[in-house]
Amino acid sequence: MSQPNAHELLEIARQTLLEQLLPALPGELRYPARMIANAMAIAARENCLQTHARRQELALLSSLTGDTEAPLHEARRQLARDIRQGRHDSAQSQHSLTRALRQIALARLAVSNPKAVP
Amino acid sequence: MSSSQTSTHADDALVAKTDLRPLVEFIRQQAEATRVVIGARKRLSGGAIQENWLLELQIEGGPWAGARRWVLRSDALSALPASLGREQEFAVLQAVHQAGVKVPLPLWLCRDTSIHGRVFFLMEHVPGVAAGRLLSADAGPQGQTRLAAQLGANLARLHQLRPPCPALAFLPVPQESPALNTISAYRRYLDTLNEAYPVLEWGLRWCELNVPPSTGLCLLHRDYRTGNYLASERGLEAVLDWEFTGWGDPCEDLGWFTARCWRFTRPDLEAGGIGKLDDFLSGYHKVSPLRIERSQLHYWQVMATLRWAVIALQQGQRHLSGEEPSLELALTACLLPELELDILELTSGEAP
Repeated sequence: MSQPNAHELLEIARQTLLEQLLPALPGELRYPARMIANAMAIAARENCLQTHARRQELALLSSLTGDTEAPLHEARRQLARDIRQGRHDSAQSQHSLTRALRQIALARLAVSNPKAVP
Repeated sequence: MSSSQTSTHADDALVAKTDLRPLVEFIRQQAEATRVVIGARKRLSGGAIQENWLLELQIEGGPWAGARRWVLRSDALSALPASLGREQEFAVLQAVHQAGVKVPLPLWLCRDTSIHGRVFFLMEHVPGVAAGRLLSADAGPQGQTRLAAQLGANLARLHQLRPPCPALAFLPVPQESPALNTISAYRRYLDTLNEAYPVLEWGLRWCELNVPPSTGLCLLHRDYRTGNYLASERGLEAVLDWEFTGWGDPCEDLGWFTARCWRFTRPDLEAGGIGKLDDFLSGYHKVSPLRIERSQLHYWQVMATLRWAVIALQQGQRHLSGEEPSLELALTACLLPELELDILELTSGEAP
């Protein structure tokens, strides 16, 4: 590749913001500048990780709903309905449910705030 | 949800255009003064939801004569669905002040929108630090014993207010169990969204299956946490942000205060990231006859984390809908995975 991709552009833009702009900003603009840097870092990670994370989420959700055809948003909706109707109340089912949901949440945390990943 | 009362906003473009004469005249009349001069005013953050202005006043004549630092609190352009208007918040502030809760002294409410463009009230400015990161970073290895106990005692004083209370008749009294009431409200909210949130559904189902016996109804702050009070070297100075107040189970406030998501830099300090749970509870029990055990808090910590997750979604929606484009609101929505993990951690083991 001879051209920077979305992730690389966001990374260098963020680095420029933090290293060149931030030190020159007055105090009250530093917090917004840090928020911008944070948003850019999240967007860069999402760009790298999202495809894999969504595929993994779909696989985990369909193992819980038993429906392998549904697209991701439909699978989420189906699982949410099942949970509300009490189909995951048994101890066994709670265990596999929370384990799968934890894996999905961890993958999303790796995008939103990797420092908080346990 | 506020984060700090002390920093100022950079965007003061509107200020220059505002005609302050009606406000000065309002203050002059209320304070029975001969003359009022606004020396300086600056916008306080503390407000994704309302606007807060610090007014530095010089008052001549009347009972308030002298230099005064007062805060003007008005409605912002958009509000969270669950929050009270300023008129109601003012009534709450008066009621809790009378009950001995540490709050900024409420002064006057102004319903006339020709004065400031929106309904507002004035209260005394209280010095101190509100920022949760600073308070938890300075808490020391054992936490701040005195502050934790004061926060417990202060919350217990609030919880001594029980319905019915004529001055607060606008607050609905829940008919069914407050926990079940909350669960249905959150489900109704989730049903309005385009996306489904299985972890939140699971948390709500868990709460439904594990409803504890009610400890009775009392007045709740509903945002009693580090970040919403001012503290100084003397300890607790004042509790802020009364816009979510309502009747509910006292354990709800204790769960919110102690939930992991409000411990900032000190997840080991269960009392709001600033102190030990035992210190906080012993302060509470010095005032309240209610015995609240550590084990009762677990359920309400799950509820607290669910509530913060719902608010984070609402904040994200305020941004996405175009109602109030804001990077801060957009980033708040990005907190969801952390809150989901907390919910899963709290609900994965055996029921309490």
